Amino acid sequence: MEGKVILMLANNNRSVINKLAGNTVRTNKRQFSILFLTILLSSFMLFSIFTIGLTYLDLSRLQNTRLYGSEYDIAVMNGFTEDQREILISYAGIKSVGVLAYCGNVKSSDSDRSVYAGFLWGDKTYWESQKAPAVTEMKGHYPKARNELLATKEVLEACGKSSLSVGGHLSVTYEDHTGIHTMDFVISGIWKGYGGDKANFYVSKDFYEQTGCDLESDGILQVKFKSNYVTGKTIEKLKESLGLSLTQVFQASEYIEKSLTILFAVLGLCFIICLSAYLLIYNILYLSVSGKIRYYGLLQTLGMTKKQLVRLIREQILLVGMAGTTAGILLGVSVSLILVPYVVKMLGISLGNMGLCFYPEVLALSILVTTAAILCGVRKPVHIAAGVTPVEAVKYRENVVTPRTGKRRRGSLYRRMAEAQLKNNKKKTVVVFLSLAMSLIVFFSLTTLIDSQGRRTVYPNYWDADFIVHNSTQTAEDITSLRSAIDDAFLSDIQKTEGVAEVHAVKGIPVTFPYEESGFSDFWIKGCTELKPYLTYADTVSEYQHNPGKYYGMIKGIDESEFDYLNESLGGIIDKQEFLSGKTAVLQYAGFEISQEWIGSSISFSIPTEHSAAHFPAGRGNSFAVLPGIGNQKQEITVGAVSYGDYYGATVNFGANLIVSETYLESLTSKPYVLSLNIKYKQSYDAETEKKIKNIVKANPCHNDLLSVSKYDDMKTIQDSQSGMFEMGIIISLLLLLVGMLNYVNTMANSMQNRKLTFSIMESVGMSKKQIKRLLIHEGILYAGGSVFITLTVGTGITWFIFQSMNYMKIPFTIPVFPLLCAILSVMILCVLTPVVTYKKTVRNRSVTERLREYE
Amino acid sequence: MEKAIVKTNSLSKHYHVGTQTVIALDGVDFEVKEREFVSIIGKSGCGKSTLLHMIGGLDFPTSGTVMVDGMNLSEMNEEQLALFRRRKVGFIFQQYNLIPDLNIYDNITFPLELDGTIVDKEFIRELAKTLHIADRLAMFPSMLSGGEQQRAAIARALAAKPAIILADEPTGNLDTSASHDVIGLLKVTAEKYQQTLIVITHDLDIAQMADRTVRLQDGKIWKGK
Repeated sequence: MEGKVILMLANNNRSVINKLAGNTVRTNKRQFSILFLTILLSSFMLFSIFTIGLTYLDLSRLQNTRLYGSEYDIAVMNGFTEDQREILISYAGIKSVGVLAYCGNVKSSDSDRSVYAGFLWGDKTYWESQKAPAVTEMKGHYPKARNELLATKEVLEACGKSSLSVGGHLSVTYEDHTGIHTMDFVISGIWKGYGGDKANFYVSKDFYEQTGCDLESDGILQVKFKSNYVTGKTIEKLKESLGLSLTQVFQASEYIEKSLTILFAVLGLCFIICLSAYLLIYNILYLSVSGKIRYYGLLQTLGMTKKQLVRLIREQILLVGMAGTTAGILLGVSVSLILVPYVVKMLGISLGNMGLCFYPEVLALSILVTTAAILCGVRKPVHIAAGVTPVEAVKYRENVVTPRTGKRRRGSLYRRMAEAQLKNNKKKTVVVFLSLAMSLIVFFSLTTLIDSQGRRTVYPNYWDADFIVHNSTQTAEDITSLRSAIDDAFLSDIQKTEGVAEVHAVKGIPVTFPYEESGFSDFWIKGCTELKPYLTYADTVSEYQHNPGKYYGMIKGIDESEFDYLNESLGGIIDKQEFLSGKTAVLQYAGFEISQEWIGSSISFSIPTEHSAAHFPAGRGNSFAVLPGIGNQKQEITVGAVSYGDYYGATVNFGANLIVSETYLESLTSKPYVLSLNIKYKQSYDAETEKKIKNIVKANPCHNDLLSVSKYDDMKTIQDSQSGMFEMGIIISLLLLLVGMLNYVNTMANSMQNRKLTFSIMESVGMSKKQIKRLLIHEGILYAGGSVFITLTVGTGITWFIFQSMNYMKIPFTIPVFPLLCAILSVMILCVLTPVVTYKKTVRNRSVTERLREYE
Repeated sequence: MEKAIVKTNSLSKHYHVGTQTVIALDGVDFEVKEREFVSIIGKSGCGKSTLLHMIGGLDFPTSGTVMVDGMNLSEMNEEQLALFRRRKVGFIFQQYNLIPDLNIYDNITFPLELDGTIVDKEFIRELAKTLHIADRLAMFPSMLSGGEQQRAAIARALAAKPAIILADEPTGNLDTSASHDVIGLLKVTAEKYQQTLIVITHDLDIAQMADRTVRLQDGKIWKGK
């Protein structure tokens, strides 16, 4: 007899499957809501993080632009040729080529006899394209006529003309390559913004052309690439194409040099975020499908084929996935484009020209990653569901995993059970560990990066002083110009101020260096005339011999603490005793090369007396008194080292500056001038102390002759230039941490659903709810411990790698201990509390019998 | 005469399913004496399991009282009921209800460890030997056959030497031969450790092995026409 064959005829059962899929989702809202929430959170995380992240990167670049004063990637310095400029302009990958040139310095104004300011000229590309992002407000226009100046409030203040507005007149004495001139200028514009050029005036092209400066020797070319990410090879190729001369300097910004590494680090972070989203979706999908195996078995019993079952599961997941993704994106849009800008505005944080905006590519990426995660994640559970026979399905229990060994574990019951729970379902455990650890690692990496951005606020000023006051009464050619702007009363007021920890004074007096052919003064004249093209060596030597006072220098005394710091910065090459006893001095660098032959050589100087008291107004100038037998006498001292630091103020004099010990200085003069005060607070950046110090400075009758440098102000300036970047980074980090934590809650909620029967069994044989909670706390501690362990080991490695990849500012790697500790603590609390709370919610007030019956 | 170890008085249990109220037990007065072997029979849904769960402190009555060894279960809180289940009763379920994460030895000693008592390893080994699962102690439930799992569940129920063994269709998933083995073993061990045995069964042969059979019908003790 022939066997019968049952033929499967094609029929249209799609509608019944669709209907069943829809109904199952509707009637199992509670179970599917966890999957829905996971997909929602994942797509929300992807959309928000990438949207805010892109803004963060833009803000980071804006911060660089503001810190550097203009937007450029490469600078060609010490002059350039027209051919080189043409090459750069015609280069395909270059967006703009601007020209900037320094063309003189202001020496005095009609309101201030000692001004420290420069003249700059920038071409149209520089000013309108490269400088524009760093300019926040502009009144008037860029100088067109020869006598026009573009100023800032700061430079006008330095000239003692802070009340000047556009159209106002200013007379200044300035020095350029043709000599020293005095000229009346009109203020053509006043700008506000960022950059070191705020202490300078911008001049017109006409003015520049008559300063004797030459673009081929002094000009700077600023180059901005079209792309924010450029390879080192491209930069190198560009450099080679220019055929630079020996004197030209080709300098790429630290950011652009590291841009590709930064890009890879950013992509790495993106990958971790995407992977974290994938793992979460995969995990919940796995738990969700395997939790319904009995139901799928029932459908098979009723005649559903495996193919139909697979289609049913896919349709269910698709329905939930579409709803979750849509809701997640909508939530992402609301949070990142509405809520975050609102909060940022409420907090009074300025984003400058930057705002959070909608990026279509982010939307596409979020949908793509979520969909890919769903499609990949659904494969394995569908395979399991379809592979289980109807009979097996009835008995299927999600967390039954046959262990390889039956070896009995040691330790307390709770520990053994908690470990068993983690070990027996390794896949779930790994996913939970990884997802929690990834949230923590991304948080760790971002806070480290953000913290390092924050630490850029600390300018490496001399000795890390909180406040420096310089006596700025000195002018270049007048040996009698110095005034006692910092007197004993002022010094005492500063010292007595609450919050001040240390005050160190740099004191000094003017000295002259006798002319010696081929001697030190001759060497010094040669160096200085190289820097000032309008001076000729022969004329200068001749005038020097007749009027050495015009070419005076300074001798500056520092205390022992300052010497220790200075010597450390010089590599400890100076013998302390020799310095303190006045045998050795440190020569201050003046901008030209100092030959090694002078190290160890003895140089002569003398302190003139004839100009003293008579030149000074009563009560202000009489602080300088030469000790008997010292005046006009030749003194000798050995040069121990050259200091390249620019801290020791009053460097406008033509002659050399010698740094000596305070004791030695006191052996020459009974009352030297105080040139600078180096003030350290008990608490750095202490606003209260800062305010008090500023008030004392303001109350000083010579406050116009005091130049203040404040670390607090620097910090505020840079914080301002960061434009909410820090806050944006914090928002991203917190969002990531929150999403990671919510996903853990979600995973645990699902896990508790699937373990309901086990808990009921445990209770039925005498385990109390309190004991179950203890068990769950043990599990939570293991999850937290594992995640924290991964974070602190692998996470530190990843963070270090990402940090170093993006560390173009060469900031030392520091772990942000406080935020990391807070995050770890939050995760630990969450890990411990979540299983307990979700268990309580799962059990509700139902009796053990009721719960056991669900599975009968 | 032996004193009553289990006594229910007008015990009722009502469940709410949607808008309907299901009466699972309706004023049941039931008594079991110490060391007695009682079988409970009746149709599906007549309230057998509910009665057993009430006696075992797994569920709360709607009205009436359950007295076990002089203790009124209705007056106990959840913590006290857990202690009661751990020390006074041993449960055997039709679905075995072994804990999948623990091996057989740990499953058996689980109630003892919950109580923090020192496990009498010798006793556990003897128990396992009696129940023919001595070579299965290191294995996990999923590695055992149905009969072996049920014998492990019996061992767990007996491990704390409770006064009462409550078995809810312990042979429901076993073949005839294994069923008789399991009941035989239950009876032997109950006698050996002087325990009271209450068994729910559909199998009249097994019911007849008991000292007394109680029949439930529509939530009440059937007293015959």
